[in-house]
Amino acid sequence: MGQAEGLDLPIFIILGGVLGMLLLAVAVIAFFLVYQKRLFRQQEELQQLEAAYQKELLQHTIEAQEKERQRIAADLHDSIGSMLSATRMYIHQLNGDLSTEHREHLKRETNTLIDSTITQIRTISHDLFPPQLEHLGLFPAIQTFAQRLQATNTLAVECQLPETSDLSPHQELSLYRILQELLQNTLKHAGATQVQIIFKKHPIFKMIYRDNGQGFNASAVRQLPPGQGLKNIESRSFALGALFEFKAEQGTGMSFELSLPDKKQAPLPS
Amino acid sequence: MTNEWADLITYFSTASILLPILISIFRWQQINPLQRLIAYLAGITLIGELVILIAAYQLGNNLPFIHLFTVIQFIVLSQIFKRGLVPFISSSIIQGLVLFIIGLALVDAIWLNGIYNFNSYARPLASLILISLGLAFLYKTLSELKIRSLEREPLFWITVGVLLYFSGNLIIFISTNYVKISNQALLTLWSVHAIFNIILNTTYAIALWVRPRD
Repeated sequence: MGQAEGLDLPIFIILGGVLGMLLLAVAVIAFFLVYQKRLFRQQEELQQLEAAYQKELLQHTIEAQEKERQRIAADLHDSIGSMLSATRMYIHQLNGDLSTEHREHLKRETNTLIDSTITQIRTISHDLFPPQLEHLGLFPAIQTFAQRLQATNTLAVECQLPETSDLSPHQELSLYRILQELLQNTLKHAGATQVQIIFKKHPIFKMIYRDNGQGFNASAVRQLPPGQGLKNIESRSFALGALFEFKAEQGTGMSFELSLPDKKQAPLPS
Repeated sequence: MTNEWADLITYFSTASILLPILISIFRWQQINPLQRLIAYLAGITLIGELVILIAAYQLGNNLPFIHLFTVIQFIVLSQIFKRGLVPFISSSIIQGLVLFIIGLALVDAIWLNGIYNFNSYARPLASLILISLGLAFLYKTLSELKIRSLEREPLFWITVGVLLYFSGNLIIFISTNYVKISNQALLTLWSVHAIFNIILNTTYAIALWVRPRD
């Protein structure tokens, strides 16, 4: 290579340029390595938080299920059990030597007890799984529930519901339970007079719940033990794979929005 | 820098390509397809280095072979990057860049600088494109966060080598035909180039030595 014609530059300027470019390249590689490690660390921390949250939700779900079983057991024992015991006692007495009047009285009492037992069993069964939900679907069941609440004159419920839902039975049950939980919270704690329940199917499936109650500090309520409702709602929403958001401030009511990103999601085991 | 030191560095630079070649022969059965491509690059580089060295002594002017080597080196390196970048960067973009460099190299050799002068258009542009592909690989790695142990990833080491070699040499490539410096200074510059070449060949060797996680 011969001597080139052109700019007259001292060699050290060119070497300085070379060194500068080299240092730049080293800096880029070093930055990349440090930043990549930091990102991985953040990702791990996030995964740990997520795992802890999942564990907490699962624990809560199990506790809620146990509580429900205890409640059903108590209902069966305290009401059904005692009524059937009384019925057996009356039937045993009927087999004895009684006056006609006494026998008729016992027959009436036995019939009353049997009717009460049937009513109680029906109530427990409806609590476990509402028949309207099974036979008519989510929206008619919500409409019926809302009408019952309206009839008590404690709450005005406005519903905006589509004609049909394309959800699986599991999804419908989960949404119904979430709504029940929300309404229970409103009745017990909010002091509200109006509730709005809106369901939308497009562009994505969405449920919006609003009340005009006294609101609450959402982050403070999460510190309360399970049974206050929010954890139930969170765990059911999470099991659905839904995105959800509470908006609540002291004095301005509460709103809850839930959206199903993919409403054709396969049903999760209950 | 004395001629003796410059010659020593040049010979050492040429010999440094033997390390990745020996490693690839030793580990041929264990290396993956990407690493085999790196092995072919090392082989092509050895042939190129020998031809350029012999031509410098026998013919006096080895620059025509540098035109050819620029294109071949670019093609192989871009195919190596393609394996790590697709579908992040479309394969047709990389193939388009190859065609661009081939065309530019021909234009540079025939019209711009001429085949007996240094290819100060094609070589720097090829360098810039390869630097960009290396940066794109780093960006892709950061955005996907799939590769945890980068030190076991062959393409990471190729990227390090490309960034250090082509960034360091870019000023040398651009200034060779356009800066008036003494022959001694030119010797110094190309000795610096030889050092960068040793670094590049070392990263080829590391890329062939590491065992990536599946």
